[in-house]
Amino acid sequence: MTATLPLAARGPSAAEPLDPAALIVLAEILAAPSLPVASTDDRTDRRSTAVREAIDHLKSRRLLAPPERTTTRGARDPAGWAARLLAQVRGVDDEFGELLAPHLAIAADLAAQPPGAARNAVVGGLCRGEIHSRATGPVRLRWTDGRPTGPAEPLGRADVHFAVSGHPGWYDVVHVPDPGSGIVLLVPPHRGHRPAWRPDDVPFRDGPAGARPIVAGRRWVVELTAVTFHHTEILPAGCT
Amino acid sequence: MSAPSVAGTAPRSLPAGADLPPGQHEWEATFALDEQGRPLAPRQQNLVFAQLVGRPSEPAARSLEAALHALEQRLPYGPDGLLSTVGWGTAWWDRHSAHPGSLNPPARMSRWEDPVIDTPDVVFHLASDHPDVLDQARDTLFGTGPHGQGEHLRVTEIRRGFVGAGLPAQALPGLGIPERAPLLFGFHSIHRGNQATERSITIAAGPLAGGTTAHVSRIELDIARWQALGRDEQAALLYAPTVSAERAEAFTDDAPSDFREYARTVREHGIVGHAQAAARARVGNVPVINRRDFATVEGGRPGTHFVSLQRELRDFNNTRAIMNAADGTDHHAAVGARRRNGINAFFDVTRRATLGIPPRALRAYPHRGTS
Repeated sequence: MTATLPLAARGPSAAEPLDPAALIVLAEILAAPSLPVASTDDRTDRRSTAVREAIDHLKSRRLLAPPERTTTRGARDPAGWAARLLAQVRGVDDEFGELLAPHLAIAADLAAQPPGAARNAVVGGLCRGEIHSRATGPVRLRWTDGRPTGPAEPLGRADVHFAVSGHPGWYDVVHVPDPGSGIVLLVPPHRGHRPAWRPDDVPFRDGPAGARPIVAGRRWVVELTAVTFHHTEILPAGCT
Repeated sequence: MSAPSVAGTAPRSLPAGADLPPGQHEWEATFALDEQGRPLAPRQQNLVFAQLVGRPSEPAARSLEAALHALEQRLPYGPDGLLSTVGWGTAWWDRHSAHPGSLNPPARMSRWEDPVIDTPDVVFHLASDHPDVLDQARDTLFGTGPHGQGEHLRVTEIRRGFVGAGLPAQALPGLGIPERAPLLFGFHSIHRGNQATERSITIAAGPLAGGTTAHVSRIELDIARWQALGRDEQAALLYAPTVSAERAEAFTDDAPSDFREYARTVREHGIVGHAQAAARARVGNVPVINRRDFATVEGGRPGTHFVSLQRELRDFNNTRAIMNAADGTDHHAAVGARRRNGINAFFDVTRRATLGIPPRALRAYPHRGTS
């Protein structure tokens, strides 16, 4: 409640992907987050509370959905859209912008790709407000039956180990590259049998994932076992 | 935690041993009124959660009824003495009553909350202006005296709190809560016209005929951040952006917030007013829930024990869903699920429970099953 808002918000323009009012609110959230939800254990870290709310706000308002394919905007320029949006967010909070950079790059990359089942499924999720990120660091991936799922056998099961920048609970999907095949696995970090998350500088402990302290800016390690994937949750090599 | 009385009229309690209303929830005729005619709920309140010890029995029912009757014979009925309800939770109705499924369990009610879902056997709501009366009542019901229920009921939790002019400022000094405010947000929120009447929330037929339903939540409030706002900003978020603090403080009968103008107001101001949004749940501009909430600072976490009575639990659910104002985001880019959206950014519901409150005649182990 510190900013004075315009009486009527302007809609986004080609030059400004985010409405100015949305940016004011984003700044408000990052400066003074709402009361954290008790079960998130965010109370230990105000920055984490702020980031969680800011992501939830952007998500609920679908403000990071990729640009539509329309002729009214002239030539499609997803990369330009992502760059402008990232600049806007960085103008509010540089560190938060860094956190969203992978999402915006993914959205721009996929928006520029030709249609395909997996690509369309991801773009659909992004348009519904999902927030994506990319795995960082070494990845371990083991398919239960020795090979990735595909159209002939659309369901497969795998164990996946990867790291991601920021708390895994902030993301709907993490893009995890398989170093062997070049495919990219679309991994909801909460899926699988007893998903385990930990800051990469803290050893694993028994107990629920949510019981560990959350600190913004940390890299987290995610270990998922027996995760079922549909073949549309695999992007073919070269797609992103 | 005493505070100077601000009552315009004293409580209208019935004398000890008087004939009592048939509905346990019929409290309001006994309330005092402040100088502006606003009803004043009992200043000290407890919620005592208990679970059955063993299987319910006829002697247990007789014992509980005798204990409650003894309290009524000893104490006036009203804020001067004791007001109470005995509400039975989903565990009772589903496991022990002849009417399983009578009561829906609570559920998560917003996109951000993650409450513990309580399913108690029974919850005693005890209310009085005098803390020693509550001590007496708890001791009678759960102590070691002749009316103690320890053989049949085990207390699992006691939630304590207060409501009334001066008490919030005393409980949280230094935060700037107005001296005369009855609740932690610093405004009067109970008016004559913004409550469902006790008559309208009384159930007409079925196992709870003559009684009502209750939804009991534990809500944590970010009082420090709320009190850091200006009074007009508070009034905008709590009532409507067109309502000033001065106007809000003068509300007596109702908090008229032009709920029919909700969408236009949000579009123009980029702020959702909590009361304005919630008032959309009224039916014919008549509220459908009767609030019995009280403030608390238990566990060092300021908040509210929100007790809502209604004829059907869906009346509460509808009110809460509409209060969320999830559609606020459609009207202005500045409004989010929590941000600039009423009081959503300032509270978190940590526990929820639902209860069926039978009429007084059935309050002890209602509709006990035979199995």
